[in-house]
Amino acid sequence: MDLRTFLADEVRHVWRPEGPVPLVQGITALQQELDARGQYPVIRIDRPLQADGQVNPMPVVCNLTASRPLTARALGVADHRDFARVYSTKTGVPIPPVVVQRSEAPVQEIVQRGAEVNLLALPILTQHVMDPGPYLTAAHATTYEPETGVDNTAIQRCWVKGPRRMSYYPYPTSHNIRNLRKFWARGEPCPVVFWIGHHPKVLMGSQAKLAYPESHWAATGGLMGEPLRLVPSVTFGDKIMVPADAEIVIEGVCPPNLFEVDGPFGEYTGYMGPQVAAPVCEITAITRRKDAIYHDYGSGHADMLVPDNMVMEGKVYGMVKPVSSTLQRVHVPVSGRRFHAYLEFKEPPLGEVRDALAVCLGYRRLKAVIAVDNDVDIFSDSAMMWALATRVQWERDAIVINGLSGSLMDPSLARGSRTVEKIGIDATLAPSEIPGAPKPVPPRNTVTPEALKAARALLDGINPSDWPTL
Amino acid sequence: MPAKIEQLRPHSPGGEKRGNTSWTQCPTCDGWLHTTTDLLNRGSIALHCPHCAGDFLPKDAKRIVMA
Repeated sequence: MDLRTFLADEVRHVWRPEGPVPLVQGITALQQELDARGQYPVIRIDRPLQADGQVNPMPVVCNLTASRPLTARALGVADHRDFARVYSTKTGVPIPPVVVQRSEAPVQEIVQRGAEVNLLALPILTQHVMDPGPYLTAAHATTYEPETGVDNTAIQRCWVKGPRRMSYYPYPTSHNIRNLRKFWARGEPCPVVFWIGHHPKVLMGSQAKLAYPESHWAATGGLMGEPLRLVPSVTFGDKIMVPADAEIVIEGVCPPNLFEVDGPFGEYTGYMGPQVAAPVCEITAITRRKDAIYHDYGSGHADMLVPDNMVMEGKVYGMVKPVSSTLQRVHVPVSGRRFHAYLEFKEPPLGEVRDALAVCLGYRRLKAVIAVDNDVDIFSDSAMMWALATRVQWERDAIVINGLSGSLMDPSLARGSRTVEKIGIDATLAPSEIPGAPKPVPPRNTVTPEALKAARALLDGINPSDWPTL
Repeated sequence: MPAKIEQLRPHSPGGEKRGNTSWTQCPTCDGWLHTTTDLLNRGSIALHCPHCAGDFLPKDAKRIVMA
């Protein structure tokens, strides 16, 4: 199971433009326009055009997981709306990884060390206006907790500044920064590896939101339904393992307390993240397949938001279900970046919806959570707005809490604030009060199933050329 | 009016949702229709059942659940 098996399985959904496409904003512009059109093919660029006018021989893939249905299918989930439950269940039954010999690890077919290392030879994108240079965006940074040896993996941005040097920005509350600081407290450089390119099951399994310290390899195995194949890194041996079937691995160290400028960078919020001080990573080795494919996530685009948000759905489901058994589905919509979650309930007893909202507000990433009944399509922003418009009295139905942890990249934060104000909204209808009588709420406008079926048949039979011009 | 109007509990404080809609059950087909309390209180205006198209006065309703 690797990136290649995924591309082969989804070959009908892969778009391969024939001509060269610029690495500087060109590929990202394609993603931006496709997002606007609501079209999400996998994109494979066979001739990525470098800033110097040369075509890089290594192909680039992106939009692997920009489509919810395609992403769910890749993870073995028939209906993307059920993703939260399936992801939560599978990653909750971990399967330990297996370690293979170096000779059995495609990602170590080519090994470059020392002066052979050249990050600039990779087809790395510069995505947006004001990005100061090429950034790794699909680099899965793996570190380990020095006392226990337990691994941690997260996607974190890296600005490539030279052949063997880059800044590496683990978010201030991330588990990787905790590991980094523990090494630095010992006066030691922090080992880190960045692996790029794998099957979506591995990409998304490794993003499971776990406790600290807790291995991501076993959770990934749970999602895969089989052990993840690992191989010792060439620099750190079995201290840090890497996925044997990845495309590329970059290995390095972050010297104690050595920071450089990083950013601005086009972030998931849809805004340019500010320039920050970030640890420096000095690269010790690059290993890769002979015919490696470079993977990029379009930051702030469906390409990155969809898989990240779907993983969050699994996290939210796992948090809420134990306290609210009537929870059915969860949606973390791209429209809300990572800040919003929609919860669907079926006949919740009194108090259970607010219990669920209270639980969700403790999740750092979420800022607004809306709960609805199962007659509202939580995968439709329009339907959610209808529920807000017709089922909510703000003071009665909203829970507002301030002073909670959240994203400091939120442009709406009050000046100087380091915490976030959050809201949970109960947009369910009032429950039944008398057995055998209708709920004390008005019925919905609707038509009979027979009438709807006939309407669909009529519309499906229309010749597009006969359709009125609008 | 029917022998007994089932009166729902009044509005509650503290975030508990209670609906605002009154329902009347048709004496002919047992179907339910929702009405304003004003219409029910007038008493003299016949209600129209959207299920069987029958007309009936509130006093003849099978059940009234008043919000």
